[in-house]
Amino acid sequence: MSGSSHFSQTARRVSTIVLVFVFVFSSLLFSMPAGSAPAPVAPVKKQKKDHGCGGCSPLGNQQIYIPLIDLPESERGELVFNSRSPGAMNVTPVFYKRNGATVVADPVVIDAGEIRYVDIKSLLPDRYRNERDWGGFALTYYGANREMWSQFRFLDVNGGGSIDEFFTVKDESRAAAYEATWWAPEKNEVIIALGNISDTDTSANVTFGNGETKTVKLKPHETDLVRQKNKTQGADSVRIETTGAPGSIVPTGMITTGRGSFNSVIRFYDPSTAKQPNLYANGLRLAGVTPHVVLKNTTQSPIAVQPKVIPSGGKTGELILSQVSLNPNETKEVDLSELLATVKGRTDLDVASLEVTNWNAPGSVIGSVHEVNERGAAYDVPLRDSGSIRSMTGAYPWKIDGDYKSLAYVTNITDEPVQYIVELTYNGGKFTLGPRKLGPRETATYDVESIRDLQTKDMSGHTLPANVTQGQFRWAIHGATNGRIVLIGRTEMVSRSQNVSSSYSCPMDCGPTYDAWLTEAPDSLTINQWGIAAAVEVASWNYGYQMGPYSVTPGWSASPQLVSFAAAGMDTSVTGTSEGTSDVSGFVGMYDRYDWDGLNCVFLQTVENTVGFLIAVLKVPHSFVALAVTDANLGCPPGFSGYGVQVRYVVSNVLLLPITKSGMTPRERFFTNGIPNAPNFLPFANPPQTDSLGTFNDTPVGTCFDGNPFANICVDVEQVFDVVVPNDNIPSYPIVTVTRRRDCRFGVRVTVDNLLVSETFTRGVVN
Amino acid sequence: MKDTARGFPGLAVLFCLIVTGLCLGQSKVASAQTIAKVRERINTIIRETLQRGEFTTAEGVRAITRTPPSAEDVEEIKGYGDRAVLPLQEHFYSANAFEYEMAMRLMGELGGKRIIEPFKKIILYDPSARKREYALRGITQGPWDQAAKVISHAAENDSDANVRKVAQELLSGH
Repeated sequence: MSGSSHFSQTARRVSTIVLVFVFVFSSLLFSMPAGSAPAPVAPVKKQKKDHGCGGCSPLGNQQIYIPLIDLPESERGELVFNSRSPGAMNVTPVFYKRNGATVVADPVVIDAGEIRYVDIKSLLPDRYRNERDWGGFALTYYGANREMWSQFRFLDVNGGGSIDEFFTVKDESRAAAYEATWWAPEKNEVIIALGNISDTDTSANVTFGNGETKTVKLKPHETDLVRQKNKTQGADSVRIETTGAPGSIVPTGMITTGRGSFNSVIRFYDPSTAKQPNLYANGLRLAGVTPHVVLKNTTQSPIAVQPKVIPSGGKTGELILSQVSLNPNETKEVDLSELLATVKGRTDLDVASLEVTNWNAPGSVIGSVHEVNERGAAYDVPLRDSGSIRSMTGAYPWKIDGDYKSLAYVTNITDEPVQYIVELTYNGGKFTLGPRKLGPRETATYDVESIRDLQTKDMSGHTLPANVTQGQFRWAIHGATNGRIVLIGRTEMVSRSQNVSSSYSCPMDCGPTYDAWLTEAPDSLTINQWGIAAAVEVASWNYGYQMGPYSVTPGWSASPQLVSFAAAGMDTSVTGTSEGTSDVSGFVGMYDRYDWDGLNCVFLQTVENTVGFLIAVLKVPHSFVALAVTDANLGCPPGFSGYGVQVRYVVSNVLLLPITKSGMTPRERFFTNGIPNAPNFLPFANPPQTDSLGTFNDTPVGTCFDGNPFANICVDVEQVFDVVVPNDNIPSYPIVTVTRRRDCRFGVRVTVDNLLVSETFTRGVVN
Repeated sequence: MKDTARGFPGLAVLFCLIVTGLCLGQSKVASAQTIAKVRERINTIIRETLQRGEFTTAEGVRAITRTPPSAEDVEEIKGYGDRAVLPLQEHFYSANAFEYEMAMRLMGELGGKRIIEPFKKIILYDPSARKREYALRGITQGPWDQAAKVISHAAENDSDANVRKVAQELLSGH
């Protein structure tokens, strides 16, 4: 073995150890609850947690890529950094010229959870900023899969609207073939860009729907454009078959008209990776726009599919459109005349979801939706397979400055109710909405501007500050689905003045793990007394990104059943019903756990989250047992004198056993020589409540006498009692104890009478 | 005409200043009157409660015993809120144990962080060990995190052994 190879092996070992240490340390660090989270309360006894996600994507060098950032038709391109990281990250932009030449720019530091919009040219080293002919672009960083995300848009394309471009994770680029379909107005030009993401030569055949084919050969990191001009409007499609290494080519596409009146993206799909056959779209506007839905059969067999339009409210009111038959490889625009006629009379369909039910193999049909408003501007709405497990999460940018509007949509694509959690973050703060249930096929819409302007409150009563203009919309599935995809989501960002229309649907790497803990729980109650049990939950990703904490309402049970439960808002009121010690358990929920198969997040198992505590239920107060009588300074006014004592009692049950509970308020009425001091019971202990042992002091006790200071004059005092237990359904408990005192100038005798048991204490001289 | 136009805003500002000044002045007077009324009521409540503890024995000897304040009086004082703090605190400095005990009990009923400082002053600085002892019992009715600091200090540092013992019992019993 040569010295250099020995050295490199040692270096590899050392770096492996360092990486393992960093990973373990980071996992430990990030698995701690956030500092702002409410602290767990003491009585927590047991807590089954869905701990960690050891199988989720490991930390490593990551690269995300787009094939084109420079178009002659667009003078400007804007990139948004979308951090899902709990800490600042170094991100290195890498620019590729159209011919594949590489320019590595200075790293950019993106803060935790930051959303940052930049002119892409501002990332270039100064000396390159006036150059054109840029092709692909990559962002590289060290971290977890999708811990840093981004989206690009060409601005002012042909003087018109923007066109989005979506990043691809380099390690996930495996497609041998891509399919795309779209609708375009007359006199359009279609631009297909193919970028070589790899370090080796590659090639592809590009076949348009009209049969026109072009072969493209690409050197490492080279990008080439294929343009096609069309005079007529209508549906079209393209298929790209990579003849080089699968995954080496990443495509993107644009549709534009000469004057920029219609600009939109062409979305490419790899049919072989579709998870299920149906296609879904949400946030589909049907009022004030003309929608164009295009479907393509990607197989060699005829196919029939069933489009349905579903109102935001869910399955009720669903509109089933005519079946669409597609011949092998046929592309067809769906006839929406029936839908548009119906929409005029139904406001519940102003914004809706679209589902294309397909009974054939996953990926056998692809689709697109392009909407055109009265000014001819286009909105792209993704119509696609539900995607992988990670698509049940999202961390999208939002922007509401100027005339920017951001709407977020989360849609239940099943016939069963499902839950998810939502959090809006902004620089320095977060707005946590917590779990929300969606009915069958229901869509939740979040208008971020309205949430801010109406000062809507989140679960903690926080509002979005009036001056925030951008941030991140985060959401994730909440609950078990056994790995089934049940939710889709996206945000739509529109600015008329800036000619921007973008759709974001970038998921996280995987679903989160959920931890719940108690924030409040009673450790003891007397029978009939109630206390509050409350819990919060936090969703965490393995690299430390968190949502929450937010309140949850567990399903409570007790063993043995010595307490009862009742809802108290998000909290639960726990009432003691029988004496003893009970093990209280709160079922928070079932959750899916995920694993990492080296490429994707995959379903592993379903786990249960519970919280719990032990509670002692005590008998009700019945008597006061005297523990001690000691001397005390009576503090008589000048001219008066008397003997003072302190009587220490403990609140006890019927068996004269102590009720070791703080916060009870003993009250008295007393009679001096048979005359009552007050018509009702009044607090008299000092301090007024029992301590944690259930004890209290009556101090100072005694009577001050005027007159001959040498005469041991006495009076008889009788005290009767009750006690108030806080949060108890019974206003006060009668106490059987009677304390009879003989207060003299030179002594005090105290007799505490508990029915059959009587104790007498004498201090000083009592006549 | 121009002069009139220039003068009008100036006059308006002057008018506003006068009105605001008058209002501020009136509000100070009103506030003082209110505090005076609260003080008067608190003094009356304390005096009448103590008087309820006075009686004459069968032998014709005048005697005094402690009687708790009525629920109605406690509610009235709670209703005064912050305005009751100073009038109650003034009774803390009385040499009459019955009086300062009653004021401390009522201060405890007020509760909140507002009661910490009045009790703290007694606990840390009053020469009467007895008064310090009762102030310790009273401060427990404030927020515990703040009260505990003062009680802990007394448990360790008070010059009187009985006061230290009471402080230690209050801490251990919480």
